[in-house]
Amino acid sequence: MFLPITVAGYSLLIHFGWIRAAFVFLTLASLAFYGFWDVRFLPLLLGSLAFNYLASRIITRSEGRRRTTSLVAGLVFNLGLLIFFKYAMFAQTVLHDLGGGGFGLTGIVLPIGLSFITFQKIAYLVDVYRRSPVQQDFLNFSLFVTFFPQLIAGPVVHHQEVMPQFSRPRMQSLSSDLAVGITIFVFGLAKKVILADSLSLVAKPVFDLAAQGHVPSLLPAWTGLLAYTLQIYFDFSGYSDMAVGLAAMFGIRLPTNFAAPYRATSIIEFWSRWHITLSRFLRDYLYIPLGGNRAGDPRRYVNIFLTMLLGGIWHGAGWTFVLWGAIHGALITINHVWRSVWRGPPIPAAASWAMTFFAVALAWVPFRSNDLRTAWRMYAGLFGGAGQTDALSIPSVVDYLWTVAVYGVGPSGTLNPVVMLVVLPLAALIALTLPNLPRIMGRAWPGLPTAGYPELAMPAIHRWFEPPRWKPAMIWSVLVALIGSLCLLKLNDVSEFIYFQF
Amino acid sequence: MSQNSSTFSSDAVQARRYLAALAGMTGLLLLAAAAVSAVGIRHRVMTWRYTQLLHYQFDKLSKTSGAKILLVGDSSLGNAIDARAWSSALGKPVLSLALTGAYGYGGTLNMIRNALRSQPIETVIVFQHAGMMRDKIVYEGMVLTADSLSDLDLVPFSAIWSSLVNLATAVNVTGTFLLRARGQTDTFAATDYVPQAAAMPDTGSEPAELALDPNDIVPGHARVLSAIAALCIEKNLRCLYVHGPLTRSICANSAEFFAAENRIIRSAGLTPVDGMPICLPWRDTGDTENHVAPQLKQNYSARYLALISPHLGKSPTRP
Repeated sequence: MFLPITVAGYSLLIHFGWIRAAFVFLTLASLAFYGFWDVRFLPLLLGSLAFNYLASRIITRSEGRRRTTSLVAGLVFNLGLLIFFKYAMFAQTVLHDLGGGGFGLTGIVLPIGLSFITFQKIAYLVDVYRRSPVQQDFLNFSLFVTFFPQLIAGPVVHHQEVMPQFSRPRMQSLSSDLAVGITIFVFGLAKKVILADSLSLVAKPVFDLAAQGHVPSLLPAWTGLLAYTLQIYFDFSGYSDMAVGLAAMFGIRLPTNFAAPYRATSIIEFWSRWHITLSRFLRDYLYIPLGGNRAGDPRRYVNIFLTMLLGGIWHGAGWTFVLWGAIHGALITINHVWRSVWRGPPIPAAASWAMTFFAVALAWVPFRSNDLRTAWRMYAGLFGGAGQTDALSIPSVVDYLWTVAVYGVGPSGTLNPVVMLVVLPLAALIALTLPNLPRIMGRAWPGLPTAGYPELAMPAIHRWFEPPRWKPAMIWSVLVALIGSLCLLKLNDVSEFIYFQF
Repeated sequence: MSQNSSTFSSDAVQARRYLAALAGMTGLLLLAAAAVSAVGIRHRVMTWRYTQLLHYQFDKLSKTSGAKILLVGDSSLGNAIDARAWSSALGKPVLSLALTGAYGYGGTLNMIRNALRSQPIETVIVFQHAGMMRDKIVYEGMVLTADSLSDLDLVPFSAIWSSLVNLATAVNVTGTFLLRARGQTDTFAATDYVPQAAAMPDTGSEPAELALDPNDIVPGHARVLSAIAALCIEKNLRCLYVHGPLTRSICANSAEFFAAENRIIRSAGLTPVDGMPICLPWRDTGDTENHVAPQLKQNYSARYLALISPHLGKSPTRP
């Protein structure tokens, strides 16, 4: 009920020309949305909002040392909150493992969306300090931070992208905005509910097996990894699409966050297509302040590595995320070094793609694993550590797939045959060969591009797979209705508890 | 995005038609799925593993007449009591409609209602596994055992909605109907229940001791138990509550937990039978900690009869 009420209330106020009131309403609705998720942290959000706005005003009015001190105070406050809620328990664990005591901390709960909100506020304060064009209206700032479509899981919205939009009414009719927004929301929901959640049924048993101390066999290990590689893409890009769709219902455009990343032919290109808004933030507020490429190549590579390392830590509090960040830092560095030294013919696109895809997939192992030991066991399984060196023969693969299809059981335990044999190939097909959502939506796609990043709309790998562009026509309403209904049915799926257990 | 007013309004008209078609189609599809699920649930056209047991029990009910004593509950009942042996011993028809713990107290309540519609029941024995109140409250069991809309009185609308409008149910019902499959129930006749899986491994010694924690009792179970008690009073039935057997390493350390459960049962208006649960020696335990080993079912069935039969001559449940 929240969404229809919010859209209706906002649209009514816009209709009567009460633009400011409409955005006040939207801000209050966003705060209510946050409070519904976890009301304990609403005072924290409000307090943080007020502090950051105050800090931005002080920075604006200050000069010299006071200006710098105010910025530092703002950064320390924001990062301090993030460090406390997200990393204090991890730091305590590390200290304990090193033989120290601890801080006596227990049960710290991370406020929802804190990681994204922190980066948004940091970008704002830094831009105020740099005297970049920044809106300093408190209402617009509040809505920028709390706008509910992007509050929970991003994208990492930049203030210059959205705040100017808060002072004007819709650019299209309400119906047009709803038609586009609902369509995109449904596609995003389908990515999450139908694809990602189904793929987790294949990935989870394999990683759980490794977490329990076993080395997965070769085929299950690769199946689980492939399933997770696709799961995380559809999960995250699905959330981003839902955010874009929700914002579009209010006539607000959010930045596009994914542009067919698994079709990248280099790791550098991958990071221009994966979590674009995070990549952009890390570039503008970490990599460039560290020196970027201004101090020569060796320093540049160090800056790249550090940036990705910190980017990994941002994703989660654990050594596995540190490792993941470090792997990507190393891969990007190697890519840059290669580009600067290789003078031979270019590597064929297919080979480049394969190397990139498998490098990214292998890097997901620590990201998904509970701990480093689990990640090690997974790597061992992926490279034959369970002893089945003949498992990649065609008869073995056929036998494995047949066992799953007929018995629903793989060497790692129960597997869902439909997911394994239908959803997994379908997901791979969608991610690797079909046009992405910005391409399908065509001119109606409301997602904002990011300057300096590649074209968002990715066509199919062959024109035979290219569908007609979306438009508000009957055929599309039937298709979207089918997909939407499937999502709603899947959301209500009864747990296996009732049917498979005493 | 056009600013021209005529294009603006023509875009708006097209978009409105699109939205109307989208809403209409989605509504129709969801209604169709709900209808398929409802028909499937109503006629039990499904093939999940333990709905075969439901088919078996409903088939048995339809072929039974004159049952006086009704046994309802879960697998701890199905594996511990032989209703046919009880019938011979008591000289009264005894009917067991044991399901599984997953059907919850709600499923038990509806099986009582279903039996009362065709049987002259005088006594109802609710026999559930000893840790029943630690299970979370699920409503699907009540939906699956419902024979009329009134049987859904305790099910929130949201649970009915999610039971009907869900993909797994719609797909299962459709597949079952198309393939004319209902699953194998003939294996249940020998023991009047689902045959047990392989027994837990015998390590040569009793497993580690555990205690059930009263704080793990999920609030809300009393609501359905009260409905069972109210039904017993309304129909002038004698209703007893029996905790199923439990392996000794847990049973012997959980007196506080069982006392807490009994307080809830009494406050709901039912009478827990004293001396329960029976603590099973490890060698008497079957494939799970609350199942009697199959070869000892007759022994324990007789033991339960001896413990419960003194209560069978008492007055019906009173408010």
